[in-house]
Amino acid sequence: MTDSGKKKPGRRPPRAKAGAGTEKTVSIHVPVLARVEGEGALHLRIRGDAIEELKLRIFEPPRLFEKFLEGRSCDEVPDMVARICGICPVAYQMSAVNALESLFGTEPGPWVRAMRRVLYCGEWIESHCLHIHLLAAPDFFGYDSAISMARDHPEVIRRGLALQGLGNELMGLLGGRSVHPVGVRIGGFYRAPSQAEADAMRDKLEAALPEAEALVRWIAAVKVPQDPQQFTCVALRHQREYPMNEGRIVSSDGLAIGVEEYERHFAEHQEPHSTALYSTLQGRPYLVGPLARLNLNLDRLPAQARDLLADTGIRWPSGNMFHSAVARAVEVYYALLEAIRLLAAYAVPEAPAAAVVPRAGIGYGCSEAPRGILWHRYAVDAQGRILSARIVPPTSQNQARIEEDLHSSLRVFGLHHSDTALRSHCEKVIRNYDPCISCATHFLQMQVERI
Amino acid sequence: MTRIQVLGIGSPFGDDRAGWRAVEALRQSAALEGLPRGALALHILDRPGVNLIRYLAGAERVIIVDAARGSGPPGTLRRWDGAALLDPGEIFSSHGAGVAAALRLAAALGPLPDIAVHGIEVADVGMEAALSQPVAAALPRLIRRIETEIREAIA
Repeated sequence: MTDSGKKKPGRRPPRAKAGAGTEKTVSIHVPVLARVEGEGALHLRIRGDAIEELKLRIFEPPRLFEKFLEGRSCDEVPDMVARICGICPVAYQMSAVNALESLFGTEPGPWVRAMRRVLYCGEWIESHCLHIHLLAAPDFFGYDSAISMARDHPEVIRRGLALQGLGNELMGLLGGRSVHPVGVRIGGFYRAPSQAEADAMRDKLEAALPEAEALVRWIAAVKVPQDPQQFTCVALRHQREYPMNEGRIVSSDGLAIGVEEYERHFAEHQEPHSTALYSTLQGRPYLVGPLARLNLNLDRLPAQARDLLADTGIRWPSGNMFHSAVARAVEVYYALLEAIRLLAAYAVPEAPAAAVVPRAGIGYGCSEAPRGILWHRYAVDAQGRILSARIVPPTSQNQARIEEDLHSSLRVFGLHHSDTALRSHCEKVIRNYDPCISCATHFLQMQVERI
Repeated sequence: MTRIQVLGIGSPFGDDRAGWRAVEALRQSAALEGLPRGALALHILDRPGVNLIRYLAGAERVIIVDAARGSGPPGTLRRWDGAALLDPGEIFSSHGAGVAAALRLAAALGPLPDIAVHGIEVADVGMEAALSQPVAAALPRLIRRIETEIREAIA
């Protein structure tokens, strides 16, 4: 993220010379304004016309939080984990409350359940619209950033910002932001919106529905590289609904397990070149995120969204990672429909939260963050204090898959291209996964060795 | 129309709260009491990214307060004219566009109000809520500067 400020080399395209052991030339860029940030770096060694080594390094802020949560009261967890990401605080809150409530045997009831979906819809809309308009679209149209694209296509960027702002407002309705986290708690919410607030929000969402439909048609019409690949998709799957907070973890290879069984099937390991953890499913890379979610849950979309998807002319399920942007757009449209449906039935509840009685044990929770399944495990003592926490974010789950994709995509693209062209292509490939790193236009420090 | 909009930008991480703390103090400021209605609005924003653009609309002047790096030892105060931040130095991201990137995007979409950015050089951007000593010590000076700027703008 560029909310940045750390002195960090390599924010500009590094220029690599030919030859082994090449040192990249980097410009030291000191951004003016500071923020906690992530980073990504790719090391590529090409021998002749083959990739000899490809290493992606991703910084993962969530890991710092696992230790930080130890010793805290479980009541503090929803607020603490909301800080992990400025874009998707809700996902962290939802996986955390799911985990703790399943341990405590809390039954939040239908109102809380519905409003959590509404809250999640807000986050999907916000996060996906940012990605589509500010990152994917400039890539697709050959702009070096959303800023240069905004000069030529202000209406596209404005539509994106308006939809994204609407997602933000929807999150605000239920207090999803983390400046003064007053929204989510174990058992439900701290406060319920008034009928008038809920009705006003629904009107705004309805007014935006045509914009979201136009968004799907527009992004689906964009010409993207044809690079179908074979990979395993993993997502939550619910009996009736498009998945957000509930369901079993399923894969396109037939896996179907409870959330608590995750660690028996999915393993994490560290590669020597990276501080990040790589997740594998039975030893193989896999995909999480909008494309995986959509591929596995096409039949869970309402008819209106399914018809729109059919109109795109794309064959679903799709193995083309560049269709991730379309999947995001469809999920924006779906999230609007779903929030409208849920708010149409809105009534102020007697209480916005169920009573919670902590107990000792281990709780497991999973939810569909905008970027894919986010899995949490908490060990809690009898007083409700956190003994240990484990957070497996979508980005680390996709890491091995991104490397696999880069291998394949670079072969298709051709290794004879210039370093700049390779880097630009790699960024597009990586960006399909919307990884939680500095997804800046030039987020990637890349080092190319040609031997 | 709000004449002056003050935006305290930050995150819950240590010194990165400096912008929030400044605006919280301005909310209690005796020096700003008795201003005409609608003259001043104060906001605290958590990593707003491009949402910053929404807070630029409808104001004659915007004062942004944020943590900074690269301007000197911790606690150093700096003030930039918004226009000075529009050079293409900063990179754009959806995971939290920086202030400069958001301003550049806003400028590409239409005219900007007068913008001033106050930066306070930070030391620790860690997990705890407390500000580091040099930042806490510099904060009152920053607040007085902004109070003066607001009063002069309204006078």
